[in-house]
Amino acid sequence: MFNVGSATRSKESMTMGTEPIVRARQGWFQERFARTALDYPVPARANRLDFMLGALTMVALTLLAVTGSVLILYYNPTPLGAHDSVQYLITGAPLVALLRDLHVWGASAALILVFAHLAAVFWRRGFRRPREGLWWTGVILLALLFGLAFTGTVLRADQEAVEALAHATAGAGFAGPLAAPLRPDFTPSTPLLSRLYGLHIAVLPLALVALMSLHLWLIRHLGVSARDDVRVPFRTHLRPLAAFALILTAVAAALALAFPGELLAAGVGGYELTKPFWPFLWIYAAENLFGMAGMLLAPGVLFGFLALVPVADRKDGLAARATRVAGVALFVLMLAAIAYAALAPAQSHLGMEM
Amino acid sequence: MAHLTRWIGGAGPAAIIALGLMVASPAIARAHEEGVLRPASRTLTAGDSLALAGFKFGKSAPLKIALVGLGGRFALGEVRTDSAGAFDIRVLVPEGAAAGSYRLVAIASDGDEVAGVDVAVTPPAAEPAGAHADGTHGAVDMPDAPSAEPLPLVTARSSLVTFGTVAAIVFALMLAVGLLRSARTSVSLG
Ligand code: HEM
Repeated sequence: MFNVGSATRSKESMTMGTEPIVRARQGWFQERFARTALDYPVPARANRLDFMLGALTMVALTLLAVTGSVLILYYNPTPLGAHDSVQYLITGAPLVALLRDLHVWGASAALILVFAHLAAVFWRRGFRRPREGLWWTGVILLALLFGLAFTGTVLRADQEAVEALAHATAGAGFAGPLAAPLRPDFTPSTPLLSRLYGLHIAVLPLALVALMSLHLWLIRHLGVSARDDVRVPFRTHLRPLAAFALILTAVAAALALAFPGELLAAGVGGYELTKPFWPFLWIYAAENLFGMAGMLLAPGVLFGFLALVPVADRKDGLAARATRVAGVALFVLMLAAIAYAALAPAQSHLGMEM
Repeated sequence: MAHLTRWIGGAGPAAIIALGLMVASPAIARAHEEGVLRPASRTLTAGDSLALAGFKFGKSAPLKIALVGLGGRFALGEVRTDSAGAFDIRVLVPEGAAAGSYRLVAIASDGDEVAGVDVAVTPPAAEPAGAHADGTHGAVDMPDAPSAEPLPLVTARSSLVTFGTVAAIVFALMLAVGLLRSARTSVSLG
């Protein structure tokens, strides 16, 4: 019953004895979980931060999925219960309140990182043959992230949410039958808020995972565009990546502790007093200047440009230079529009009152 | 490849025209002014009367007010807006309306819905607390005036969660530094 012999074994013989055991365990693990599959060669340059921004976006998305899974347990997706339930989880449940703040900061982190990733890939022309498909799947991923940010904002059912929803339903009026589910009278069986909840927690994340899988599959098979003769096993990529992932999570957690997310009073329709979540401020700026046309055109210009990038910039020359200049100009314009909208006084649109 | 180009050549314009029509048709159809409905409360009691205000509709326009949900569609009355496009009435919530989620809607003379607000109907008899059909714990009133100010909420905190998080942050940062150092050594060692 008791292994008396092991108690009398010397310290030296014990340490010597563990090595083959450890090696045997590693062998067991490698065989069953195909760890050697991570040893495929990648350019050594891919171990730099500018080649890790995509993976860090994925880390932020994982943080969102984990925290969101807990929020699901506390959120009430009905028009009359939603605001109360958010208020409850902020004031009545310390861990959930922290996870909500982590969710809010995680959303900002994901959007900053995805734009940083897009900018890095654009600058190094990572979209050129044969990676055009990789770029286009990225463009759709960006649209899905905006969709998630929008539906997330609306779920709070506060004043900002009601205003965001009014803009979306007005925009949906121009998108035809495709956007019919965004109309309040689409069906009497489900309120619009509950439909948007379904989009936020199921439809958009599923689409995101499917597209992300395609994006990653393409990266695995086409490789990244780093021109580097020195090759290292992909495994060496994981250590710095894990370090940056830990830093990202720690910073998000610190921000969540120091700056908890706000909640406005329950929303009242017909008024516009607030500004949208910051990733939408450039669209808000366009709406300030050009009304409804600006609200529809601004995303049209961004996504239209992104879709054309791999077609316009195929090899060095005038078109390539023009694409780069246009891309940089668009990026700077977006940042300027965000800054302008953040500083300018709030404006009302769509005939709403202030 | 040639097949594909030909197919795209034919389908492309057709798709653009179809998309254009899809996009344009509702924009043409929705030529209404959309208004705002403001019930005194968003929790309605079957059999009770309800004060209902509306504004930002067409001037002197006839509107039908209805309650629409899985429990049925109930006509609550008709109203004509004033010269400012507003109205103020009382409507009776039908006694036969089953408890549940509904939308209170305003319908223009051409049958288009021009305003709507989500509401819940509760049964006339007193019910046990917390048993609302929509899962809320009390009557949900419409706020009188909208506000862009954050609610003065005190975020729930517990020392266990706060100190646990601070400890996790410190640990994560230390681990990150260790990983970066060892990554640099292993890469520089080749
Ligand atoms: C959910 C969002 C996204 C995730 C999780 C993601 C993930 C990744 C990862 C892990 C890589 C490998 C190398 C690197 O990080 O640079 C990568 C590469 C790439 N991504 Fe993304 N990405 C996302 C969005 C985008 C967007 C918005 C675009 C562009 C519109 C894009 C275009 C590309 C391209 C072209 C490459 C190859 C770059 C090269 O070889 O130089 N991705 N992505």
